[in-house]
Amino acid sequence: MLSVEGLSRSFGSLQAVRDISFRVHPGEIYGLLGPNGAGKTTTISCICGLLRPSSGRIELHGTDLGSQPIAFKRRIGVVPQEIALYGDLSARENLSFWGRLAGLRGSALQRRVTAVLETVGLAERSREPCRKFSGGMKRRLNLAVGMVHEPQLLLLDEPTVGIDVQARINILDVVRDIARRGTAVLYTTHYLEEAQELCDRIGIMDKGKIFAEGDLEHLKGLVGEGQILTLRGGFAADALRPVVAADDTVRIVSLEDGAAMLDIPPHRGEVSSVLSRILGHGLSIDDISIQEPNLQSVFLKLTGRELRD
Amino acid sequence: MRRILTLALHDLRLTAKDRPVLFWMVIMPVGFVFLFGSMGGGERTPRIDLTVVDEDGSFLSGAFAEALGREGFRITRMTPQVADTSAAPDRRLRVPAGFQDSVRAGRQVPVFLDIQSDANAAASFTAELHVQRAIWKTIVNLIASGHELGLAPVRANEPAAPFAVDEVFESAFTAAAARPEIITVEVESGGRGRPVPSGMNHSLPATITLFMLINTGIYGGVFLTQEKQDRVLARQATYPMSPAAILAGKLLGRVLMGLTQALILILAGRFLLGAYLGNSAFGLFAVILCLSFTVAALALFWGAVLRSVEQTTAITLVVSLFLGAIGGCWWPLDVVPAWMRAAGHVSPAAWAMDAFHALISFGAGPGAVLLPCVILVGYGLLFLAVGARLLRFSD
Repeated sequence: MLSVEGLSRSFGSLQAVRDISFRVHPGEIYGLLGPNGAGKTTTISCICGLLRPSSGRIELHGTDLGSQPIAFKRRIGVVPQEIALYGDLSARENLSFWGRLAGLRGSALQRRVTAVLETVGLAERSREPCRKFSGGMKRRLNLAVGMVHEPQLLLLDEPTVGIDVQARINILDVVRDIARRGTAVLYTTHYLEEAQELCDRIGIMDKGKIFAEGDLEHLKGLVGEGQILTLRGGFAADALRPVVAADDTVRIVSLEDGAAMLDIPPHRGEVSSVLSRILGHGLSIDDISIQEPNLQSVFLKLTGRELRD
Repeated sequence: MRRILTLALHDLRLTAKDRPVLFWMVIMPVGFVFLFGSMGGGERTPRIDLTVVDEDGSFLSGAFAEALGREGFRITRMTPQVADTSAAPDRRLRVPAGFQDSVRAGRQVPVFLDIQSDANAAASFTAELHVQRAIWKTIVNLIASGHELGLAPVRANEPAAPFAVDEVFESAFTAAAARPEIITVEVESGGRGRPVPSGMNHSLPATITLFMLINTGIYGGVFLTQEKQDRVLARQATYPMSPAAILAGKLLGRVLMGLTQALILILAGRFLLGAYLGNSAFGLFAVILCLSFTVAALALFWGAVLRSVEQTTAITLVVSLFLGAIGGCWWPLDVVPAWMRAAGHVSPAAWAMDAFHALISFGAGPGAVLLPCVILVGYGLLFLAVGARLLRFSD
């Protein structure tokens, strides 16, 4: 089990990660969800030993990263956000090199290289220089490198950035499969659907802090039973604000000229009542949508901010 | 240790995968050794050509020509008729008609050495000395054979009585000429005034040094820059190795690159071009190993401080050429002024060249390369320390 306790990391006066704690169990996929600059990559970099934490403790099955870095690193696999491969080497040569660096040798290495090439669907093109690969193929090879030595903890930092749907589906399937075999997976993303679809538990992170964590149902519960009413039209934010504020039960999630997101209590007729009041004040509405609580509404409620790509 | 070796061999593999490597590490440097070795006088002890035009055709003029041949000249004899119709040789010695009669009568007789203006000046100067020696030896043989035959000695300021050049005299003269020299001079170079290394003796070590600087610098520097750019270095840092072990792997890889470059040139120089490598294989290996360490550490330094592949290629090439030039890889430091020779020793190449020359050109043993080796290792440690300090595994 990965245990992160009170992890902080500063760069000069900037506190990138602020006193975060979480655990990832064997076979579990834990998602760190947050916008760019939230501190996800810094967190992963600390866990894989690339950055030294300013404070805090990181352990994997009782092995402390600070005091036993080599033993700790022997148990982890890392899939960085960038495609960190040797372009002049083939997929097989890349995997052999990284596998050897992880400690694999001889027939065990060859067996694992062949297995992961099959897993990520690159067996047929394994002898081509990987600089000739498409973006999706490179991403899959990037993932394969991280898992060739069968680590106990796999750290994936936004592994699906900039690839097509098919490649993304393949990567998510592979990650699920790895977790099913007992590997603990720490997965960072800023794609809500991905986190919703893949992760057993999610930590919502922004400004270096984890605001909430739990499974999807637990997180939805944090928003309450309400609905999210999204309005678009020709209204001014200043005109809409007093109309909505007159009702204590309605909460403004976000508001700007021509667009508003409102948190509406689940009482019967509440939505029509709010809409009548707005229209009664002469404000025009062109588009209405009503959503059940989801990860986005949880995020908005906790951080008050739209997710940013 | 196995991971260090994995990293080192990986760098060699990347080098081998680069298509132009055959040109940069084999064809071009071997061409350099041959070209500059030939330009600088590839033969170790060249024989000097001398054309002798014997206008006298006597026993004594023939004996004098033979004495010249024993001086190491490559003698071409010509009759005056042939000489008049032939192209002028670089060096021509004319023995005038009446040479023997003048000598017999004790009259002074000149011989004429004509040197073409474009002839090799050093060879012509040497030729002049050897002609003088041949004259002295001929006179000595005349005195010895006269003494043998009981001829009256010639007194100062008195006319000499002419002697007969007959069979008896010729036999006595030939016997005197065949006698081993009673006094010989053994010449040994030491300290200042040593000969300037030239030919293959200079071009082989110079090319080894220069191309180790260039190729290890460029390949070793570029690979590290590329690894930083592609975040491969950061990925390596997540594997079960300490940063020191990663550095050691990269250093070893670059040392192996340097050794490979040196080995290629030594094999080609020795077996293809017939270059001389000195008498101390151990000393030669020590110099090459220390130089490999220095250039490997320098390559790591370049990789650590430079940011892009293009920048690394350009800067490494220019600096390597400069270090090679001031270090005596293009021309021997023996031919530059003393201040330039001293300034040149800022470059590690100068210390490597000192060591190579000591072994190859001056026949020294391994003890002579100790100081250069210590200084090369010192340079290497300095580059390594600064490079390690500045290297960032991740942004």
